[in-house]
Amino acid sequence: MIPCIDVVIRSYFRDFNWLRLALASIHAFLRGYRQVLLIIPESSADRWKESLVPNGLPLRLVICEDYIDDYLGQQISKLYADEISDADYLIHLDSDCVFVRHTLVWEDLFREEKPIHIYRNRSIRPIIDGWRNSIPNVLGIDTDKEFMVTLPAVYPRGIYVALRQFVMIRHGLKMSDLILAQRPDQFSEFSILGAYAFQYMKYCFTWIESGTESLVNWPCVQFWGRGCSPSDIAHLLPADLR
Amino acid sequence: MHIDNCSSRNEFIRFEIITEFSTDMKAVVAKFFREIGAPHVMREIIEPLTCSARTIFVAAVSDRPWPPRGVGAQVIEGLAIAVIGEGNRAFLTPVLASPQNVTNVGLVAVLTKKLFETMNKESVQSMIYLARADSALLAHILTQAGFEPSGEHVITERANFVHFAAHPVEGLKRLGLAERRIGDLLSLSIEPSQISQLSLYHWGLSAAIQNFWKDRIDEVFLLPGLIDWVATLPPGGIGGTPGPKIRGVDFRGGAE
Repeated sequence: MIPCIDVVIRSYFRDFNWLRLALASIHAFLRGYRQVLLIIPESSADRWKESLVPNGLPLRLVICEDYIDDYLGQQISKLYADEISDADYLIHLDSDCVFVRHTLVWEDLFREEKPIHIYRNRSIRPIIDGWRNSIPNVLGIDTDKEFMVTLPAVYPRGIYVALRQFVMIRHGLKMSDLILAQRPDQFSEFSILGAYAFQYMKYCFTWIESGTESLVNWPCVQFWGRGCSPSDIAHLLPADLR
Repeated sequence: MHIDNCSSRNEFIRFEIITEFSTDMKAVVAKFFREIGAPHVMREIIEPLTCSARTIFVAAVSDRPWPPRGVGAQVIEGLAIAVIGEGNRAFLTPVLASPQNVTNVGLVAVLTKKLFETMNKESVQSMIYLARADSALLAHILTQAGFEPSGEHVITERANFVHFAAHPVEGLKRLGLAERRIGDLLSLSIEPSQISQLSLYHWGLSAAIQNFWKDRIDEVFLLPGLIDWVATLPPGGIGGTPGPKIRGVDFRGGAE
Protein backbone atom coordinates (compact mmCIF):
# COMPACT_ATOMS: atom_id res chain seq x y z
CA MET A 1 0.00 0.00 0.00
CA ILE A 2 1.36 3.42 -0.92
CA PRO A 3 1.76 5.48 2.22
CA CYS A 4 0.13 8.83 2.84
CA ILE A 5 2.56 11.69 2.24
CA ASP A 6 2.21 15.40 3.03
CA VAL A 7 4.42 18.31 2.03
CA VAL A 8 5.44 20.68 4.84
CA ILE A 9 6.65 24.22 4.23
CA ARG A 10 7.47 26.64 7.01
CA SER A 11 7.46 30.19 5.70
CA TYR A 12 6.98 33.79 6.82
CA PHE A 13 6.03 37.10 5.26
CA ARG A 14 9.46 37.92 3.97
CA ASP A 15 9.61 34.78 1.85
CA PHE A 16 6.15 35.07 0.30
CA ASN A 17 7.54 35.97 -3.13
CA TRP A 18 9.60 32.79 -3.10
CA LEU A 19 6.72 30.83 -1.67
CA ARG A 20 4.51 31.84 -4.59
CA LEU A 21 7.06 30.28 -6.94
CA ALA A 22 7.52 27.18 -4.77
CA LEU A 23 3.77 26.54 -4.67
CA ALA A 24 3.45 27.11 -8.41
CA SER A 25 6.22 24.56 -9.00
CA ILE A 26 4.52 22.01 -6.74
CA HIS A 27 1.27 22.56 -8.56
CA ALA A 28 2.94 22.20 -11.94
CA PHE A 29 5.33 19.33 -11.30
CA LEU A 30 4.77 17.39 -8.09
CA ARG A 31 2.38 14.45 -7.90
CA GLY A 32 1.72 11.72 -5.36
CA TYR A 33 1.23 13.69 -2.16
CA ARG A 34 -1.97 14.37 -0.24
CA GLN A 35 -1.70 18.05 0.69
CA VAL A 36 0.66 20.92 1.32
CA LEU A 37 0.80 22.04 4.94
CA LEU A 38 1.96 25.62 5.02
CA ILE A 39 3.01 26.91 8.44
CA ILE A 40 3.41 30.63 9.05
CA PRO A 41 3.75 32.51 12.33
CA GLU A 42 0.88 34.56 13.64
CA SER A 43 2.56 37.87 12.85
CA SER A 44 2.75 36.88 9.18
CA ALA A 45 -0.89 35.86 8.94
CA ASP A 46 -1.99 39.45 8.39
CA ARG A 47 0.19 39.58 5.30
CA TRP A 48 -0.89 36.24 3.86
CA LYS A 49 -2.63 36.37 0.47
CA GLU A 50 -4.78 33.60 -0.94
CA SER A 51 -3.53 34.67 -4.34
CA LEU A 52 -0.18 33.04 -3.51
CA VAL A 53 -1.81 29.63 -3.89
CA PRO A 54 -2.41 28.27 -7.39
CA ASN A 55 -6.02 27.27 -8.09
CA GLY A 56 -6.57 23.64 -7.24
CA LEU A 57 -3.49 23.14 -5.05
CA PRO A 58 -4.51 21.18 -1.95
CA LEU A 59 -3.12 23.42 0.78
CA ARG A 60 -3.88 23.78 4.46
CA LEU A 61 -2.68 26.93 6.19
CA VAL A 62 -1.42 26.40 9.74
CA ILE A 63 -0.75 29.39 11.96
CA CYS A 64 1.92 28.84 14.61
CA GLU A 65 3.00 31.03 17.49
CA ASP A 66 5.47 33.88 17.10
CA TYR A 67 8.93 33.21 18.41
CA ILE A 68 11.36 35.81 19.70
CA ASP A 69 13.72 34.64 16.99
CA ASP A 70 11.91 33.21 14.01
CA TYR A 71 15.08 31.80 12.52
CA LEU A 72 15.03 29.39 15.47
CA GLY A 73 11.23 29.36 15.49
CA GLN A 74 11.01 27.94 11.99
CA GLN A 75 13.26 25.08 13.08
CA ILE A 76 10.91 24.33 15.96
CA SER A 77 7.97 24.19 13.54
CA LYS A 78 9.77 21.64 11.40
CA LEU A 79 10.76 19.39 14.30
CA TYR A 80 7.14 19.29 15.48
CA ALA A 81 5.70 18.77 11.99
CA ASP A 82 4.15 15.43 12.98
CA GLU A 83 1.79 17.29 15.31
CA ILE A 84 -0.03 18.93 12.41
CA SER A 85 -0.22 15.94 10.10
CA ASP A 86 -1.22 12.30 10.37
CA ALA A 87 0.65 11.36 7.18
CA ASP A 88 3.09 8.45 7.17
CA TYR A 89 5.84 10.60 5.64
CA LEU A 90 6.49 14.31 5.55
CA ILE A 91 8.33 16.04 2.73
CA HIS A 92 10.12 19.17 3.92
CA LEU A 93 10.57 22.06 1.56
CA ASP A 94 11.62 25.63 2.13
CA SER A 95 10.03 28.65 0.47
CA ASP A 96 12.96 28.94 -1.93
CA CYS A 97 12.76 25.34 -3.21
CA VAL A 98 11.50 25.00 -6.76
CA PHE A 99 10.58 21.82 -8.61
CA VAL A 100 11.89 22.07 -12.15
CA ARG A 101 10.64 18.83 -13.68
CA HIS A 102 7.78 16.40 -13.29
CA THR A 103 8.18 14.50 -10.04
CA LEU A 104 6.38 11.49 -8.67
CA VAL A 105 6.93 11.38 -4.95
CA TRP A 106 6.98 7.61 -4.66
CA GLU A 107 9.33 7.18 -7.64
CA ASP A 108 11.63 10.18 -7.45
CA LEU A 109 11.92 10.88 -3.72
CA PHE A 110 11.84 7.25 -2.59
CA ARG A 111 13.93 4.22 -3.58
CA GLU A 112 13.22 0.66 -2.57
CA GLU A 113 10.17 2.03 -0.77
CA LYS A 114 12.33 4.13 1.53
CA PRO A 115 12.81 7.89 1.41
CA ILE A 116 16.04 9.04 -0.22
CA HIS A 117 18.35 10.83 2.19
CA ILE A 118 21.22 12.69 0.57
CA TYR A 119 24.37 13.22 2.60
CA ARG A 120 28.03 14.07 2.23
CA ASN A 121 30.51 11.50 3.49
CA ARG A 122 32.87 14.29 4.53
CA SER A 123 31.38 17.61 5.46
CA ILE A 124 32.55 20.62 3.48
CA ARG A 125 31.71 22.85 6.40
CA PRO A 126 34.59 24.16 8.48
CA ILE A 127 35.27 22.33 11.71
CA ILE A 128 34.05 25.30 13.77
CA ASP A 129 30.76 25.57 11.85
CA GLY A 130 27.82 25.79 14.21
CA TRP A 131 25.48 23.72 12.09
CA ARG A 132 28.08 20.97 11.92
CA ASN A 133 28.75 21.18 15.63
CA SER A 134 25.08 21.01 16.49
CA ILE A 135 25.26 17.26 15.78
CA PRO A 136 27.73 16.43 18.59
CA ASN A 137 26.29 19.12 20.83
CA VAL A 138 22.70 17.96 20.61
CA LEU A 139 23.03 14.27 19.83
CA GLY A 140 26.47 13.45 21.21
CA ILE A 141 27.44 11.95 17.86
CA ASP A 142 30.89 12.60 16.41
CA THR A 143 30.71 12.43 12.66
CA ASP A 144 32.43 13.83 9.60
CA LYS A 145 29.25 13.41 7.62
CA GLU A 146 26.96 16.23 6.60
CA PHE A 147 23.23 15.71 6.40
CA MET A 148 21.87 19.10 5.42
CA VAL A 149 22.78 18.93 1.77
CA THR A 150 19.68 19.72 -0.23
CA LEU A 151 15.91 19.64 -0.04
CA PRO A 152 13.37 18.14 -0.25
CA ALA A 153 14.04 15.94 2.75
CA VAL A 154 11.57 13.17 3.51
CA TYR A 155 11.13 11.73 6.99
CA PRO A 156 8.83 9.10 8.46
CA ARG A 157 6.51 10.53 11.06
CA GLY A 158 7.97 8.40 13.86
CA ILE A 159 11.33 10.15 13.77
CA TYR A 160 10.03 13.41 15.21
CA VAL A 161 8.71 12.07 18.47
CA ALA A 162 11.71 9.76 18.82
CA LEU A 163 14.09 12.68 18.38
CA ARG A 164 12.17 14.83 20.86
CA GLN A 165 12.24 12.03 23.42
CA PHE A 166 15.98 11.61 22.85
CA VAL A 167 16.53 15.31 23.54
CA MET A 168 14.39 15.15 26.66
CA ILE A 169 16.39 12.22 28.00
CA ARG A 170 19.81 13.61 27.08
CA HIS A 171 19.26 17.27 27.94
CA GLY A 172 16.23 17.26 30.20
CA LEU A 173 14.63 19.80 27.89
CA LYS A 174 11.72 19.98 25.52
CA MET A 175 12.98 20.22 21.96
CA SER A 176 11.50 23.72 21.58
CA ASP A 177 13.26 24.94 24.74
CA LEU A 178 16.53 23.41 23.62
CA ILE A 179 16.30 25.18 20.26
CA LEU A 180 15.38 28.55 21.76
CA ALA A 181 18.42 28.31 24.02
CA GLN A 182 20.75 28.11 21.00
CA ARG A 183 22.44 30.84 19.04
CA PRO A 184 20.87 31.00 15.58
CA ASP A 185 24.08 29.90 13.90
CA GLN A 186 24.53 26.97 16.29
CA PHE A 187 21.54 24.82 15.44
CA SER A 188 20.46 23.07 12.28
CA GLU A 189 17.24 21.11 12.31
CA PHE A 190 18.06 19.08 9.20
CA SER A 191 21.55 18.28 10.45
CA ILE A 192 20.01 16.94 13.63
CA LEU A 193 17.25 15.01 11.88
CA GLY A 194 19.68 13.55 9.37
CA ALA A 195 22.27 12.56 11.92
CA TYR A 196 19.64 10.99 14.17
CA ALA A 197 18.22 9.11 11.21
CA PHE A 198 21.67 7.83 10.21
CA GLN A 199 22.55 6.76 13.73
CA TYR A 200 19.30 5.25 14.92
CA MET A 201 17.01 4.69 11.92
CA LYS A 202 19.51 3.96 9.20
CA TYR A 203 17.55 1.17 7.58
CA CYS A 204 14.45 3.32 7.21
CA PHE A 205 16.15 5.38 4.49
CA THR A 206 17.98 4.94 1.21
CA TRP A 207 21.23 6.83 1.71
CA ILE A 208 22.77 8.41 -1.36
CA GLU A 209 25.99 10.34 -1.29
CA SER A 210 25.85 13.82 -2.76
CA GLY A 211 27.39 14.16 -6.20
CA THR A 212 26.73 10.62 -7.29
CA GLU A 213 25.32 10.03 -10.72
CA SER A 214 21.95 8.86 -9.50
CA LEU A 215 21.22 12.38 -8.26
CA VAL A 216 21.98 14.15 -11.52
CA ASN A 217 18.32 14.65 -12.27
CA TRP A 218 17.30 15.68 -8.78
CA PRO A 219 13.96 17.34 -9.47
CA CYS A 220 14.13 20.26 -7.06
CA VAL A 221 16.45 23.27 -7.02
CA GLN A 222 17.05 25.10 -3.79
CA PHE A 223 17.89 28.75 -4.24
CA TRP A 224 19.06 31.03 -1.49
CA GLY A 225 16.13 33.32 -0.86
CA ARG A 226 18.14 35.86 1.08
CA GLY A 227 20.67 36.30 -1.68
CA CYS A 228 18.49 36.67 -4.76
CA SER A 229 14.88 37.14 -5.80
CA PRO A 230 12.61 34.99 -7.97
CA SER A 231 13.02 37.45 -10.83
CA ASP A 232 16.81 37.07 -10.61
CA ILE A 233 16.59 33.35 -11.31
CA ALA A 234 13.61 33.36 -13.70
CA HIS A 235 15.87 32.53 -16.65
CA LEU A 236 16.86 29.27 -14.92
CA LEU A 237 13.28 28.05 -14.64
CA PRO A 238 11.19 25.95 -16.96
CA ALA A 239 8.85 27.98 -19.16
CA ASP A 240 5.82 26.95 -17.10
CA LEU A 241 7.15 28.86 -14.10
CA ARG A 242 8.45 32.03 -15.68
CA MET B 1 -1.74 49.88 -6.54
CA HIS B 2 1.96 50.73 -6.44
CA ILE B 3 3.04 54.12 -5.26
CA ASP B 4 6.69 55.18 -5.45
CA ASN B 5 7.78 51.55 -5.55
CA CYS B 6 7.16 51.31 -1.78
CA SER B 7 4.89 48.32 -2.03
CA SER B 8 7.49 45.74 -2.99
CA ARG B 9 10.02 47.04 -0.47
CA ASN B 10 7.38 46.84 2.24
CA GLU B 11 7.14 43.09 1.80
CA PHE B 12 10.46 42.71 3.60
CA ILE B 13 9.79 45.00 6.53
CA ARG B 14 8.87 43.63 9.92
CA PHE B 15 7.44 45.44 12.91
CA GLU B 16 8.87 45.32 16.38
CA ILE B 17 7.46 46.70 19.61
CA ILE B 18 10.22 48.01 21.85
CA THR B 19 9.79 48.86 25.51
CA GLU B 20 13.45 48.67 26.42
CA PHE B 21 16.43 49.33 24.21
CA SER B 22 19.12 46.73 23.88
CA THR B 23 22.57 48.13 23.16
CA ASP B 24 22.20 47.02 19.55
CA MET B 25 18.81 48.63 19.14
CA LYS B 26 19.99 51.88 20.74
CA ALA B 27 22.61 52.16 18.01
CA VAL B 28 20.04 51.41 15.31
CA VAL B 29 17.65 54.06 16.62
CA ALA B 30 20.49 56.60 16.90
CA LYS B 31 21.33 55.95 13.27
CA PHE B 32 17.69 56.49 12.33
CA PHE B 33 17.58 59.90 14.01
CA ARG B 34 20.82 60.84 12.29
CA GLU B 35 19.33 59.86 8.94
CA ILE B 36 16.24 62.01 9.43
CA GLY B 37 18.44 64.99 10.22
CA ALA B 38 17.88 65.08 13.97
CA PRO B 39 21.00 63.42 15.42
CA HIS B 40 20.67 65.30 18.71
CA VAL B 41 17.31 63.70 19.55
CA MET B 42 18.68 60.34 20.61
CA ARG B 43 21.16 61.61 23.17
CA GLU B 44 19.29 64.72 24.30
CA ILE B 45 15.74 63.35 24.46
CA ILE B 46 15.23 59.63 23.83
CA GLU B 47 17.97 58.29 26.11
CA PRO B 48 17.05 60.36 29.19
CA LEU B 49 13.36 59.95 28.49
CA THR B 50 13.51 56.18 28.38
CA CYS B 51 15.21 56.25 31.78
CA SER B 52 12.56 58.42 33.40
CA ALA B 53 9.28 57.55 31.70
CA ARG B 54 7.45 54.53 30.35
CA THR B 55 7.99 54.63 26.62
CA ILE B 56 6.78 52.38 23.83
CA PHE B 57 8.28 52.40 20.36
CA VAL B 58 6.95 50.61 17.32
CA ALA B 59 9.72 50.22 14.79
CA ALA B 60 9.51 49.19 11.16
CA VAL B 61 12.70 47.23 10.69
CA SER B 62 14.43 45.77 7.68
CA ASP B 63 17.06 43.10 8.22
CA ARG B 64 20.26 42.57 6.33
CA PRO B 65 19.76 39.45 4.21
CA TRP B 66 22.76 37.65 5.70
CA PRO B 67 24.02 37.53 8.33
CA PRO B 68 20.83 38.78 9.96
CA ARG B 69 22.55 39.51 13.29
CA GLY B 70 25.34 41.82 14.38
CA VAL B 71 26.23 45.47 14.06
CA GLY B 72 24.57 47.01 11.02
CA ALA B 73 22.17 44.11 10.49
CA GLN B 74 19.05 46.16 11.19
CA VAL B 75 17.79 49.40 9.69
CA ILE B 76 14.82 51.33 10.99
CA GLU B 77 12.49 52.41 8.21
CA GLY B 78 9.96 54.16 10.41
CA LEU B 79 9.24 54.78 14.08
CA ALA B 80 6.15 55.44 16.17
CA ILE B 81 6.58 56.61 19.76
CA ALA B 82 4.33 56.89 22.81
CA VAL B 83 5.17 58.07 26.31
CA ILE B 84 2.75 56.77 28.90
CA GLY B 85 2.03 58.99 31.86
CA GLU B 86 -0.26 59.23 34.85
CA GLY B 87 -3.78 57.92 34.44
CA ASN B 88 -2.75 55.67 31.56
CA ARG B 89 -2.59 58.61 29.19
CA ALA B 90 -0.26 58.19 26.24
CA PHE B 91 1.44 61.17 24.63
CA LEU B 92 2.06 60.50 20.97
CA THR B 93 4.62 61.72 18.50
CA PRO B 94 3.66 61.66 14.81
CA VAL B 95 5.15 58.67 13.01
CA LEU B 96 8.65 59.27 11.72
CA ALA B 97 9.76 57.85 8.39
CA SER B 98 13.28 57.42 7.08
CA PRO B 99 14.25 59.48 4.00
CA GLN B 100 13.57 56.45 1.77
CA ASN B 101 10.04 56.20 3.15
CA VAL B 102 8.82 59.78 3.24
CA THR B 103 6.02 58.94 0.80
CA ASN B 104 5.44 55.43 2.09
CA VAL B 105 1.97 55.99 3.49
CA GLY B 106 1.30 52.24 3.73
CA LEU B 107 4.24 51.81 6.07
CA VAL B 108 3.20 54.77 8.17
CA ALA B 109 -0.37 53.47 8.34
CA VAL B 110 0.83 50.13 9.71
CA LEU B 111 3.00 51.85 12.30
CA THR B 112 -0.03 53.90 13.35
CA LYS B 113 -2.21 50.80 13.53
CA LYS B 114 0.39 48.87 15.53
CA LEU B 115 0.91 51.78 17.93
CA PHE B 116 -2.81 52.26 18.56
CA GLU B 117 -3.33 48.51 19.02
CA THR B 118 -0.45 48.41 21.47
CA MET B 119 -1.94 51.33 23.37
CA ASN B 120 -5.21 49.45 23.61
CA LYS B 121 -3.45 46.34 24.89
CA GLU B 122 -1.68 48.50 27.47
CA SER B 123 -5.09 49.75 28.67
CA VAL B 124 -4.33 53.33 27.65
CA GLN B 125 -7.47 55.37 28.19
CA SER B 126 -6.54 58.33 26.07
CA MET B 127 -3.92 58.98 23.45
CA ILE B 128 -2.94 62.62 23.29
CA TYR B 129 -1.49 64.95 20.71
CA LEU B 130 -0.46 68.45 21.76
CA ALA B 131 -1.57 70.75 18.92
CA ARG B 132 -1.42 74.53 18.73
CA ALA B 133 -4.73 76.04 19.69
CA ASP B 134 -4.71 78.40 16.70
CA SER B 135 -4.21 75.70 14.05
CA ALA B 136 -7.50 75.06 12.32
CA LEU B 137 -5.89 72.47 10.05
CA LEU B 138 -4.55 70.38 12.93
CA ALA B 139 -7.91 70.57 14.67
CA HIS B 140 -9.56 69.32 11.51
CA ILE B 141 -7.08 66.48 10.96
CA LEU B 142 -7.22 65.33 14.56
CA THR B 143 -10.99 65.48 14.99
CA GLN B 144 -11.39 63.53 11.75
CA ALA B 145 -9.21 60.86 13.34
CA GLY B 146 -11.32 60.74 16.49
CA PHE B 147 -9.23 63.08 18.68
CA GLU B 148 -11.22 65.70 20.58
CA PRO B 149 -9.99 68.72 22.57
CA SER B 150 -9.90 67.66 26.22
CA GLY B 151 -9.76 71.13 27.75
CA GLU B 152 -6.22 70.72 29.00
CA HIS B 153 -3.38 72.89 27.79
CA VAL B 154 0.35 73.18 27.62
CA ILE B 155 1.45 76.78 27.43
CA THR B 156 4.90 77.77 26.27
CA GLU B 157 6.30 81.28 25.96
CA ARG B 158 5.22 81.39 22.32
CA ALA B 159 2.04 79.36 22.03
CA ASN B 160 -0.89 77.65 23.61
CA PHE B 161 -1.13 73.92 22.90
CA VAL B 162 -4.36 72.01 23.32
CA HIS B 163 -4.63 68.36 24.28
CA PHE B 164 -6.46 66.40 21.60
CA ALA B 165 -7.39 63.04 23.06
CA ALA B 166 -8.83 59.80 21.69
CA HIS B 167 -9.32 56.28 22.98
CA PRO B 168 -7.15 53.86 20.94
CA VAL B 169 -10.18 51.97 19.65
CA GLU B 170 -11.78 55.19 18.45
CA GLY B 171 -8.60 56.23 16.67
CA LEU B 172 -8.34 52.85 14.93
CA LYS B 173 -11.94 53.03 13.89
CA ARG B 174 -11.94 56.60 12.61
CA LEU B 175 -8.79 56.09 10.57
CA GLY B 176 -10.22 52.90 9.13
CA LEU B 177 -7.36 50.84 10.54
CA ALA B 178 -9.25 48.53 12.89
CA GLU B 179 -10.17 45.81 10.42
CA ARG B 180 -7.49 46.44 7.84
CA ARG B 181 -4.96 43.70 7.25
CA ILE B 182 -1.35 44.73 7.47
CA GLY B 183 -0.61 43.27 4.05
CA ASP B 184 -3.37 45.36 2.45
CA LEU B 185 -2.11 48.54 4.09
CA LEU B 186 1.49 47.91 3.09
CA SER B 187 0.50 47.34 -0.52
CA LEU B 188 -2.12 50.13 -0.39
CA SER B 189 -4.79 47.68 -1.47
CA ILE B 190 -7.37 49.95 0.11
CA GLU B 191 -9.92 52.49 -1.11
CA PRO B 192 -8.46 55.68 -2.62
CA SER B 193 -10.45 57.75 -0.12
CA GLN B 194 -8.68 55.97 2.73
CA ILE B 195 -5.30 56.55 1.14
CA SER B 196 -6.19 60.25 1.06
CA GLN B 197 -7.32 60.27 4.68
CA LEU B 198 -4.23 58.45 5.93
CA SER B 199 -1.97 60.69 3.86
CA LEU B 200 -3.52 63.87 5.23
CA TYR B 201 -3.31 62.53 8.76
CA HIS B 202 0.34 61.59 8.48
CA TRP B 203 1.69 64.46 6.43
CA GLY B 204 -0.38 67.06 8.28
CA LEU B 205 1.00 65.98 11.64
CA SER B 206 4.51 65.49 10.24
CA ALA B 207 4.58 68.99 8.78
CA ALA B 208 3.32 70.44 12.05
CA ILE B 209 6.14 68.89 14.05
CA GLN B 210 8.91 69.33 11.48
CA ASN B 211 10.42 72.39 13.14
CA PHE B 212 10.90 70.47 16.36
CA TRP B 213 13.24 68.01 14.65
CA LYS B 214 15.16 70.98 13.24
CA ASP B 215 15.54 72.31 16.78
CA ARG B 216 13.36 75.36 16.03
CA ILE B 217 11.15 74.70 18.99
CA ASP B 218 9.53 78.13 19.06
CA GLU B 219 8.00 77.45 15.65
CA VAL B 220 6.41 74.05 16.18
CA PHE B 221 2.70 73.55 15.58
CA LEU B 222 2.58 70.17 17.25
CA LEU B 223 4.63 69.25 20.30
CA PRO B 224 6.05 65.73 20.33
CA GLY B 225 4.86 63.56 23.15
CA LEU B 226 8.43 63.26 24.33
CA ILE B 227 8.26 65.42 27.43
CA ASP B 228 8.07 63.40 30.59
CA TRP B 229 7.09 66.24 32.86
CA VAL B 230 4.04 66.76 30.74
CA ALA B 231 3.30 63.09 30.80
CA THR B 232 3.55 62.74 34.55
CA LEU B 233 1.99 65.95 35.79
CA PRO B 234 -1.59 65.75 36.97
CA PRO B 235 -4.16 67.10 34.52
CA GLY B 236 -4.59 70.84 34.50
CA GLY B 237 -1.57 72.08 32.62
CA ILE B 238 1.07 74.47 33.83
CA GLY B 239 -0.30 77.84 32.79
CA GLY B 240 -1.04 80.31 35.57
CA THR B 241 0.41 78.43 38.53
CA PRO B 242 2.67 80.63 40.65
CA GLY B 243 5.34 78.02 41.35
CA PRO B 244 7.27 77.53 44.57
CA LYS B 245 8.81 80.29 46.59
CA ILE B 246 12.57 80.52 46.44
CA ARG B 247 14.42 81.82 49.52
CA GLY B 248 11.39 83.62 50.74
CA VAL B 249 10.79 85.35 47.43
CA ASP B 250 8.22 84.05 45.03
CA PHE B 251 9.12 83.87 41.37
CA ARG B 252 7.03 86.96 40.56
CA GLY B 253 9.38 89.08 42.64
CA GLY B 254 7.09 89.81 45.57
CA ALA B 255 8.76 89.79 49.00
CA GLU B 256 7.11 87.68 51.69
